[in-house]
Amino acid sequence: MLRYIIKRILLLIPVLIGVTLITFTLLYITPGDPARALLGPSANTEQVEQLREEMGLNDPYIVRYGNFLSNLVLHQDMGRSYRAKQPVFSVIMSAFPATLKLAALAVAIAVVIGIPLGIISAVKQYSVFDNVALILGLIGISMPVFWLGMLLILQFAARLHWFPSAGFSTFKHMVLPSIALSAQSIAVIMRMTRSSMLEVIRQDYIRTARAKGQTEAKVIIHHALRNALMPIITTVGLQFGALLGGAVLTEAVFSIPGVGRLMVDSIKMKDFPVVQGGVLFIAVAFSLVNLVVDLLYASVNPKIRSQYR
Amino acid sequence: MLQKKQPKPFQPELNTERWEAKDGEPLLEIRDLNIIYKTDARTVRAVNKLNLKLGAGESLGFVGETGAGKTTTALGILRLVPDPPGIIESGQILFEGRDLLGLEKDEMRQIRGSRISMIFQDPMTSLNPSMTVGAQIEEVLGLHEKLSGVDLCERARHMLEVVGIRPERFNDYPHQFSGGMKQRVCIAMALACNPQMIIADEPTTALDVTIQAQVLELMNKLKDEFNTSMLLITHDLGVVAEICDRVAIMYAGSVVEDGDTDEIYDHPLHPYTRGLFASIPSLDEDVESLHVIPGAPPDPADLPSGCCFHPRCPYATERCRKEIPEMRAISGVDHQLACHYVNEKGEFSGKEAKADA
Repeated sequence: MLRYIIKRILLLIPVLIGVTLITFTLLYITPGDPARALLGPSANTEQVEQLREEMGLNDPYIVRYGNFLSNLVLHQDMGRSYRAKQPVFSVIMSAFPATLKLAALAVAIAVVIGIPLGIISAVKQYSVFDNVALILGLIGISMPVFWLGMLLILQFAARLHWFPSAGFSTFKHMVLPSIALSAQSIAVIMRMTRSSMLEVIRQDYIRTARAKGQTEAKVIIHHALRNALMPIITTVGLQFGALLGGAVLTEAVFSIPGVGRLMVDSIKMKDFPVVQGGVLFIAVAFSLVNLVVDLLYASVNPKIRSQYR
Repeated sequence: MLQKKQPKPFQPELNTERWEAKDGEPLLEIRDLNIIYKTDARTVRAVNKLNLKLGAGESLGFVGETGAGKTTTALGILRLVPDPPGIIESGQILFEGRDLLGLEKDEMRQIRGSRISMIFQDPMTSLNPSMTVGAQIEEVLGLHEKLSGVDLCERARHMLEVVGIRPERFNDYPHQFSGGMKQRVCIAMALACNPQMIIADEPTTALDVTIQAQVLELMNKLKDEFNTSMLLITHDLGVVAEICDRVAIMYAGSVVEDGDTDEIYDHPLHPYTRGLFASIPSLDEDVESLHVIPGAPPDPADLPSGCCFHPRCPYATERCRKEIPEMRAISGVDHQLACHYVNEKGEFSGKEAKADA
């Protein structure tokens, strides 16, 4: 198992090289001049040209990418933010905790609500409950997150004053944005749980469990859910990974200083080192989540366990 | 801890309770059972006024073509017919003197796996892939026996030994076993609580021919050792002859002929049963082509009027098309059948329709 983990982490290297190359190239061909953006419209051409030289923006593509890679590998340095004048890593790390907390809470809510709803929908297929859950799920998936966020603010912050409407310092601040963010995940996880459970419930070994005299609740939880878990874990992992990249809209609606907002602001300001570093950071986080998902597979499926070497 | 021990002779220390039959009352008696599968589009009458008896310690071969309703009957006994779309419409299933169809869900659960257990057709899919085989045997023991911890494990290991699997394989998962071994695990599970009756639904169909014999022999041996009644669903008439005391022939959802195995094999009377026997290829004679019963089994959503077999029966008359034949006993022997043209002495008076035409 340990060998498998090490192998997977080594496999990250080519992935990350690919990620940096693509981001770097995209930023390189993006129109607009970071030096001009930094100095503002009042600066004259000479000043801009001088800054371009200092920032190394006039070097050829290959040289700039080479410099970036060698700094990254040899000095673990992702450069400095043009704007904040701080190392990129510390800029990202100042935004990441908010995003991590938000993503974790949203996914936790989605799992706690989505999986049970999906199980009940599957067990009572085509019942009233199933149909209501289907409709609510559709609403959850189609409702834009900023719209839901604003509705929540209106009701629970502006009218009832239960929760603050903006900022991200206490647990109370996290509640509304997490709910807004979890709506889609709840729906996705619920649908996945339902279809996966429906498939498993029809299996022969479920009938065997019933023929043993097992209670219906244990048949569903011990026998069915356990075997239905793999696609559910995949979905939860994908949702969590995606949220780690920052939830731009939610962060904007609730004024949360997270990774999503950092990335959008940096792109607008042509703060390329932060964008580059941010994408790299998100890619690593996403890959690690995927690795955890694969390891969870092994814990639920003994057949996969014997294949992990 | 796990040490190499001499396998002790099997002693059913638990649940040795055996039902006492009063005045030849059968262990299982099914009366006029009707099971349907109902969808919006159509109603499939899978089991149709079925009557069946099984005595304590007896083994009954349940024979019929695919789709005759054998498996549905078996699932009906355990009340495991998938619902929806399956509905047990009417009838009685008397087991140990109680009507199973009248029991509460919890009472029924206590019967499943403990008094009646079932071995399914396909061992490849009948075991939970994410549980060790040991845990799966322990599960059924834990549900019905007052055992815990070490005793539970000990007994489950013992069951593996009984079916000829090394107890060291206790912690292996189903995918690490071959098909025959998996069926042995299923048998171990079915016998773990020493049930009064076992339903075996084509237990060897999914297995290799060489393994089939082994599994059948094992089942037969254990059945005698545990003094268990068995309902063996199969379409292999050879297996029935070897293992079963009695045989019931099923056609289109009901039993058309049943009785003592030797009696039925020596004097098959119902035209369908005779057709079945005639279609067994003989090793001694060279034949041009195999004998078949003409036509196909009826569509259970649209059963023929009168005797269900009449469209395929060479002796069918107007009466067969209109009147449903009653089950009639042949005097002096254990032999019942439903055909208009057989009298109490077991004489067949039908004439081939072709002769008339």
